Amino acid sequence: MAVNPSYADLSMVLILMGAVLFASWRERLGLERTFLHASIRTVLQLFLAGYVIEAVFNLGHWYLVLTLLTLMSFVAAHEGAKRLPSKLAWAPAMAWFAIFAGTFVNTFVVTEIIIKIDPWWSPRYLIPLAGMIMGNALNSGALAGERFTSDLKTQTAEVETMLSLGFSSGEATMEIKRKAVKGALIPTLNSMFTVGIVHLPGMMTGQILSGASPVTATKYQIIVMFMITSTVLTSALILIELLRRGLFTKAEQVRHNLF
Amino acid sequence: MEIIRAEKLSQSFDGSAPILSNVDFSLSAGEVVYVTGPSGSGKSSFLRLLNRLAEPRSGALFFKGATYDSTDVKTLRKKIQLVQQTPVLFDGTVMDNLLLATPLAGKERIKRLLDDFNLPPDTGDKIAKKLSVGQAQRVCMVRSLLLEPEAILLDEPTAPLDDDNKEIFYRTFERVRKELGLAAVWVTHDADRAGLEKGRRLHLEKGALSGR
Repeated sequence: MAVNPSYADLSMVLILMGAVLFASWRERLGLERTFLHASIRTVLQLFLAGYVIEAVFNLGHWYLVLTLLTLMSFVAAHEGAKRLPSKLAWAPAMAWFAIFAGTFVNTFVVTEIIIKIDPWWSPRYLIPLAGMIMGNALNSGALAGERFTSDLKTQTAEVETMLSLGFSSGEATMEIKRKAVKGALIPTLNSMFTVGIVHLPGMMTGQILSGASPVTATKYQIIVMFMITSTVLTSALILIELLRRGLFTKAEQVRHNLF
Repeated sequence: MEIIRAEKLSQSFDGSAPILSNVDFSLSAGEVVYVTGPSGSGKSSFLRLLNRLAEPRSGALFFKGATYDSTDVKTLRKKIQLVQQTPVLFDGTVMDNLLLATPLAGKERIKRLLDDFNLPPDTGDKIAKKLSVGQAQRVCMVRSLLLEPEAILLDEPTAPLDDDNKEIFYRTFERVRKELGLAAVWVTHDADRAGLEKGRRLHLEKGALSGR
């Protein structure tokens, strides 16, 4: 039977917070203020998310579910764009599209083809799954985009040599793109090797804690692992392609002024 | 026949003084033009415009009478090759680098060009990034020539070389250039150096190209 912690129980996490603050003070890490700030943000953001999602559950309208997901995608794009070249005017739109497209395709496959939720917008499934997919799309997209841009900057001579030899910008950046996508995918691949042995993922742990059978939680976790891998790849590839188009002119020239 | 023509070419970068202003220039088939000028005078920028690695702020460029805009940029760059000051070779062997843009290049032709540039026949098997600067620069020349360009743009290719290697480079290049009937724009500090073919000498300073 799942234990639902009361607010009094929850307040006991203050013990852990106190320990962290004490350690930070004792070891002169200077992190007390940051930690307090981060703790307050964590509690407020999670409660806000919890109550908003609960309200969407209770109201039960498909358009509220989609509105919430759209808002989440804008926030994700805003965060993602911070790690792209600031002079690239289209960066926020590129980040949004990469996150949106990666999330849409993968959420559709998971919710409508694999677990077949009914109704199609069932918030209990759609919101957490799409949220998780979006988070991964954001991280992988930003990681790949950042790497692609910085490598392009440091390897301009190589890229321009390729262009000079008559290659397209797509061909000239192939190696940079490959490294950026691999870089974004490696953390996910590593976790696929260790999942269930070295660590139990947050979602699986959460499901078990809230009373689901470990086998059901396992099935969901398998879906989630593949869903994350596929999302990472989709979003990273889309964002890199958009960035390449933004960072080169139609005449296959590097836009040096954007770096 | 005119290979390259530039009309009223101007170039400047955000907020700085113009690097080129209203420059007119032409290069005929088989002709060699030396461009001199102080550092930072825009010689490299000029070559980048001719290779279309950069776009001019204003003015027009023509390749055999057709505007650069109406010419496929990849074909244009193959036909007007740019050899940069610092040689750029990629991972792999010299042969991998030579075949990069011309995978169907004949072995005989590669061997002859390597020989033309005083590179031993086994150079192809060497790791490209382990070559000396002088050798790497000559490999870059061979890589460019395999594309059978009509003009070649040289951005001080001899700058990183010592005097002996400079001499070899000059003599070799001039011989090969004449054999292939290649036009060339050569940015250099040593335009008056003995042994250089008689060609037009242009001077680029304060945005203006003089001596045309």
